[in-house]
Amino acid sequence: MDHPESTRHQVLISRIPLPLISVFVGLVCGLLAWLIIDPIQGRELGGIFQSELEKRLEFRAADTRRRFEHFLLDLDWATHSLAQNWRLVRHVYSEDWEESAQKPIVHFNEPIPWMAPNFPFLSSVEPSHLILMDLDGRPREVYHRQDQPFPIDRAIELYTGQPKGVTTTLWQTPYFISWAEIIHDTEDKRAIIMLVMPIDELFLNTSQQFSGLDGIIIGLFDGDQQRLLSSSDRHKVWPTSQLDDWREKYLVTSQALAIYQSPDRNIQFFTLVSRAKMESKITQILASVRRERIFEAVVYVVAFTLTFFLISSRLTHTLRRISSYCQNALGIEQVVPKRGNQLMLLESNLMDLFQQVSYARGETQVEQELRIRESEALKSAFFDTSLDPIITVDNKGFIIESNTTAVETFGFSREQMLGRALDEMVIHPKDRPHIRQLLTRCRQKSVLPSLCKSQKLTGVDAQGKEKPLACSVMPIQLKERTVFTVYLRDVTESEKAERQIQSLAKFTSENPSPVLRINNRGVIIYANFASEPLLHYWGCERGQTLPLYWRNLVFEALEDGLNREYEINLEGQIVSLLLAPVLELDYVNLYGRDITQVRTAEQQSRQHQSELVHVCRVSTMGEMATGLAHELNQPLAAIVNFASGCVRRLQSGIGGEAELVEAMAQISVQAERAGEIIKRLRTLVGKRPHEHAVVNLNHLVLEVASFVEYVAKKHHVDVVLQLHEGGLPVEVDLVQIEQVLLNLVRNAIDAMKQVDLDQRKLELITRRLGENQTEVLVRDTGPGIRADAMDQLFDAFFSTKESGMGMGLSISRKIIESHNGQISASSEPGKGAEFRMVLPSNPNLQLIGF
Amino acid sequence: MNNKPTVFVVDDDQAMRNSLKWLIESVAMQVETYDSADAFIRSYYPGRSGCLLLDVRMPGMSGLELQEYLVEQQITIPIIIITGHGDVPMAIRAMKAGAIDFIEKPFNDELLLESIRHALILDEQQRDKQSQRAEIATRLARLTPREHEVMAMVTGGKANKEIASALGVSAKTVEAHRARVMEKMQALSLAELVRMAMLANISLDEVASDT
Repeated sequence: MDHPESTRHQVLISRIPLPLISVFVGLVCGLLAWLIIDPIQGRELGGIFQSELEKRLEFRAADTRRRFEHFLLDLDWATHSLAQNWRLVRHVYSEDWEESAQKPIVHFNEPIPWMAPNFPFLSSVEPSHLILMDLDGRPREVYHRQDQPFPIDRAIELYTGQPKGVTTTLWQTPYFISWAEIIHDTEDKRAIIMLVMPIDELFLNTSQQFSGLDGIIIGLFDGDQQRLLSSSDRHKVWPTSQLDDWREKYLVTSQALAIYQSPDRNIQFFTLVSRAKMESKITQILASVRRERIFEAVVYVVAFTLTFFLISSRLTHTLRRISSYCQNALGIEQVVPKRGNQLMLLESNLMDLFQQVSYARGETQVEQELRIRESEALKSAFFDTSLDPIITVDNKGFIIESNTTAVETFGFSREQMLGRALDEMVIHPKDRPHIRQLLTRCRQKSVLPSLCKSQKLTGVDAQGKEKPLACSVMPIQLKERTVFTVYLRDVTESEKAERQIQSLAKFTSENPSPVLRINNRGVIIYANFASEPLLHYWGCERGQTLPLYWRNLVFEALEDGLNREYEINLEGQIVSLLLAPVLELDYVNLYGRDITQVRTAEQQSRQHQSELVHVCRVSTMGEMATGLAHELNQPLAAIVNFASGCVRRLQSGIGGEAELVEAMAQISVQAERAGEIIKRLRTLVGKRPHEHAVVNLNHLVLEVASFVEYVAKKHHVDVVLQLHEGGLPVEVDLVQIEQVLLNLVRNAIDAMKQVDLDQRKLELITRRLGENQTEVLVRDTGPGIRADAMDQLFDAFFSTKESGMGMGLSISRKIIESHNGQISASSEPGKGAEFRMVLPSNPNLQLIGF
Repeated sequence: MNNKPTVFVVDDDQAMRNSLKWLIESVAMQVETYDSADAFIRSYYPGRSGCLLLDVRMPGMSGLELQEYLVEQQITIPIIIITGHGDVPMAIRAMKAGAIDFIEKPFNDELLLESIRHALILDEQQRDKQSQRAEIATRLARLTPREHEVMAMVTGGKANKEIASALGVSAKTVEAHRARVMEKMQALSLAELVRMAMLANISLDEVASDT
């Protein structure tokens, strides 16, 4: 933010991808280098090549001159060999030779008689003149092919007598003149053969024939006049021109001949090399060098760019890894932009990362501190919430910390305790040496943990009250010192509990009822004193096995783990024996109970119950009768009205016959209705109580439903029946069960008086529960049963109704239980209640009508 | 619509309805029967004269609820409650709520018809009283506020002088007001004025409490 300019630059740069920058920089650098280096190098190279070429030119010039001279030598040699040819020798030593002494014989373009055919002259170069002369220097025979006259004399003049030819010019034409003495083995010397050869274009080219001239023009010039005498290419460089004239077009090298110099002329050898050709060559070389340089430059740029590209791709990769690391390890969202200068991005990204890491580190520190604090808090919570007093002392036994329980147990405040000696503070004087010993013992490093516990100590609290304590000491090795955590458990309570356990242990032996324990082999392993009559009954002693029958019962109990109860008659005393198997320990506890009294009471209560049932039944019937009577009122009132109406009409003489008949008919309809009601009443009242009979539970329910039809209608209760399909045979006391049902239904209707009219629904459901049980459900939509009333529901004299006696459900339960059934209630307060009556059923029972 | 008094019978038992209609029509009274309280409410309108024979126990709206509803709607039709056996406490409640009689099933025809006749007379009287009250109300409406005050005090038994001092005016002015009150109310005597004031006690009470 401080440098917006630079930031803007940075942003601009950071947007350009690295490879682009590198390409750009590479190109610029290459171009600059090119611009600087190329002219310099070009110039220098040009110079170098120039001098090199010049050197080569010199060399070439010398070379051409040497070849030329060799050619001359060869020609000389050829002359000598010709001179020794036998034909010439014979010719010279023939008689003809003598005759020709007067005048030279000149032959023009004639074949030479003494010349051997195919004399191996030098390639195409042929002498223009062939002169035979005698030793006096007189020409004897002259052969020439050129029609131009040749100053024979002049040639002869040049004869030096040396066996070596010369060069010369004649009429501006250079010639090579070679000679040799013709020698006869036996005769004296007689003649000399002389060959004159024009150094013309052919001659010059032939002299260089093995290497070729390749654009170089050679020739001879007059050193004095600087005029060309002959050239290898007379069309380009023609003789008679001045040598200097060619300097512009050619590089000129002039050399004197090392041999065959002209004795009278200053004939020199020149070499011309075409400047244009040379320059084009240099240019060609330079161009090729330049091409090379360009190629190099391109290679450099490409390599440079590639390198950067690789670097940048690595950077991108690194960036991604950093980013993914950030995301995965640190949970920081760091997006890598897809485009841009990776280096800059990396920088900014790394900076971000450092910040994040330092931030995260800060957070971690905070978190660690928090964790430490938390763990301290936890430890202190442990310390403080421990039910045992915990006191930390230093190695001299002075208190440095105590927990809340310690404060509570000993009645000293923490501040009072701190800095005081532990033993003097809370330990009874008689036990002080013990605790000191204990601390000393625990100071040793390799002490066994058991040694750090004391059996028992007596503590003293602030009030001077003695407390039994169990003490254990835990040394804690700190950096510089050892402290001890002393746990002092107040064992007052546990001692009390121990005593209680001891006294509890006497329970069984003091139990007035028989208590025995039988092991898995049927052996009596324990029998209390009260078991004597039972043992006597069995005829066995403690430590002996039970009689077979009972042994089997014990085995069965151990097998299925279920309690069993049996009754036996011990000399008029009815004893219930409960076999309670303890599977995990593999024995059976046997509890005897004298139930003589209970049985007697039960018998009495059964009598009582039937009386009660009677009372209840009568009261129910009374109520039912009231309802039916009320219903009876309705048709009766209608009858009275119709009858009175008829009487009045008849008295006053109004009303037609048809009208009256209709009214009468109505009277009889209403009378019949009344009769129906009375019939129903008779069904209810006229039922004789009888003993158990097999009836269909569905019938029973239907009948009860018809009894309450009126009451239900009166209270707008919707009665819904849901009966098990097919019969549900039960063997019951019809009247009693009917009464129970009636009672439940009546309760349900009563309960529903408290809810809205349209919500009153009574459901009567019968169904089969397996083979041996049937069930009747009485479900209402009343206010339900309060949870606190649930437990007492079936108790006698408990009622939630104002006018209730609290007998109904109590009697109902007794009745159902006497039928070996169960009755239970469940309720969802506010939604309704459900009474469930389960009666034993036997599918084998035959329904014998109802 | 003829305004002959009608006996409205509301009972859910059809036999009861038919037999009652049969019986009451035998003494040439007009009878309409309804099988429920709702049916009655839907067809009855307050202008009709007559009485209501109401069965206490009915599905849906019970007799007592119908009674409460009528009181709420300020419908003053006389109600005779019919009860079955054992509904006596309920009948008593109905009586307390303003039913004029209750008759237990089965009925003595004489007793029932007597009760109906009595109810119809009562209804007529009530209607008379109501029309009188309406008349007095229109007359009261013609009084000025000051005349209202004067009338309230006069019928409250105060002498002219007392009224004058209470209102801060002369006795003569009071005299004049009083004359105009008598005139506007069309009262021939003070006694008649007092009777009117008692009939229309509601509006006068308000005035009295203001003073």
